[in-house]
Amino acid sequence: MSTQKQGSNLRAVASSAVAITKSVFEERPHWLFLLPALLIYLPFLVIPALGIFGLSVFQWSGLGDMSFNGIENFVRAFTSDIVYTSLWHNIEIAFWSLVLQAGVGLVLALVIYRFSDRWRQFFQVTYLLPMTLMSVAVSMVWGYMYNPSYGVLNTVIKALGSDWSPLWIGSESQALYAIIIVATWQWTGFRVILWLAGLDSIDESLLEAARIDGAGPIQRFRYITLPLLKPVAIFISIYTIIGSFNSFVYVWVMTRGGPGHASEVMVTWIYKNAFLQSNFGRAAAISVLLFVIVLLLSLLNMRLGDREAGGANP
Amino acid sequence: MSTESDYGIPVREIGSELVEKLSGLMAFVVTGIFLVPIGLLLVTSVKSRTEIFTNPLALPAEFQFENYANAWTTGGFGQYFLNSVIVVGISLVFILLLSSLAAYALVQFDFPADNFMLVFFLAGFMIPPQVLLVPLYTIMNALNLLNTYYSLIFAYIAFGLPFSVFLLRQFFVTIPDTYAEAARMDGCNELQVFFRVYLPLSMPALAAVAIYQFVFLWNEFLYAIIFITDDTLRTLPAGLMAFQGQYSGDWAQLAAGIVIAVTPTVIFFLLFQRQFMRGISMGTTKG
Repeated sequence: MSTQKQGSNLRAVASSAVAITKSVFEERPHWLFLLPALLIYLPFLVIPALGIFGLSVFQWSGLGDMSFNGIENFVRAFTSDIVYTSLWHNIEIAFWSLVLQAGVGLVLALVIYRFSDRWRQFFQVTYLLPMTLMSVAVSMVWGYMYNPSYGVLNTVIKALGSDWSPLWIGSESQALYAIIIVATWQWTGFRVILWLAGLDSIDESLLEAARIDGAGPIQRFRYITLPLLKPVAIFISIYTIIGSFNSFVYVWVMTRGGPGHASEVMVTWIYKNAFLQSNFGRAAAISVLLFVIVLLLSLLNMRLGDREAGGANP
Repeated sequence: MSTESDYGIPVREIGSELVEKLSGLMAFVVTGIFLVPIGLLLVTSVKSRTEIFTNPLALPAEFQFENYANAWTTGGFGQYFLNSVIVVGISLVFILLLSSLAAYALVQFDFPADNFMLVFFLAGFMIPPQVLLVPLYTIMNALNLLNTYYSLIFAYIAFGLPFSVFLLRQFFVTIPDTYAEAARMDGCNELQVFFRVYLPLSMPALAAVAIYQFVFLWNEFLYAIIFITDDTLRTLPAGLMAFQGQYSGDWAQLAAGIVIAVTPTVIFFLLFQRQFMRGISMGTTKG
């Protein structure tokens, strides 16, 4: 075949490819609009999400060849105690986040709701400020405040005349709680704003009607406000729990999971397996567990959310 | 406070004035708790290195503004800042463009897979970045993208899409179809309808998406420390971490670096509070 012939063949192929593409987009123009997003979404979100299951059955150090090793990674990952220690720490963080962020958040929202618009605006801004700061920065500032010798907290305790000098993030028994305090500081204000959005969505005429029917404030709160807040409550609770299972930054910056494994959480343990111990397969196996937990929580949120919506609009 | 404002809230009846006053006071105390660490950060950033150890609570004897100059130049925060601007800026532009195109397809065209595609994008909402750390690193490595801006940009766009597609679709549904039809009658093709009719009408929704994503991307830490190890390419969160590792104990300069790193999101938030709140309530109560 002469090169000239080859060239014209290529040109023919190219021009027919263009023609096909053109006709696809003419007949199905929606793909023209969807394609750019899919070109990023598929390789960098969908494929990794599927790939995590694939990686979990291979032995791989991050470099060189992968070798298939079946359920070995899962066996190794889940016969080590550390994964359960981490999981338990995530559960502890979730519990305290529910109590402190969601629970105290609701109380604060109810208080702020009664202020005049101007004050309410003031509280909304000051309460949301912590969440706009990067978590690394927040962790560093708190790490500085927790410093046992020149940190603000112990300096104040000493100035008050107490000889209690906690080690905070340096102590095995306190590290996890010290981290929970930081998460509470950064996220409680955000929960307050979410609760306020829920309170705002309550139709005031319902409360007015109940008042006319003689219901007192406690009855109105118990029988109208609370039930109507249920969808928001579900959303806030589940996303607080999901956030707790995804904890990483505070732990990594302040303690690296230490002392020992006293503040190890699932994501730091995944990180260590992959990037410090070069065991990507095992890291993927632990990620599968985290994935399943988060997915179940998201599905629970959708399920409960749907039921609420179904109940509200019969 | 008007009596109208106590809708369904029992405080007034249970307790007297006292309870009401105490709960109001609590709201202010909490504000204090939120503001004190921020104030402390600002004070620390203008102290000298020795004052931090000798006088942790006191104001500085002399304001050391050179902490900022040092952090910006020798501390490397100028470079980190520039890297953040590039990575976050490019990511934001593409998130807005790609998600509004996709949302337009979902709203304006009837095609067999249209419900599936919506669910397909929304499903990404259920996958946190932390879970994909290992496989995404593997892909970036295979594509030779580690230690480039692209690794972060592609990951950020991918994770920005689900929420943005969802929010923009919600907004596009409210735009009357007659606008698009009128434009088509005037001879506009679909791309022109998108650019000339939908985008200009969607500025409030685009702003809400941009502000929300900006805060999220500017502060992103996990991928930033893992995909980039070359110091000249680090974004601010990773740069802070590297700085702390290198100069541990230099709290004054670190504090100045932190202030530099957090200032853009704080300013953004203060300027665009209203859109920020709208983004929050659109994403939650109506989800």
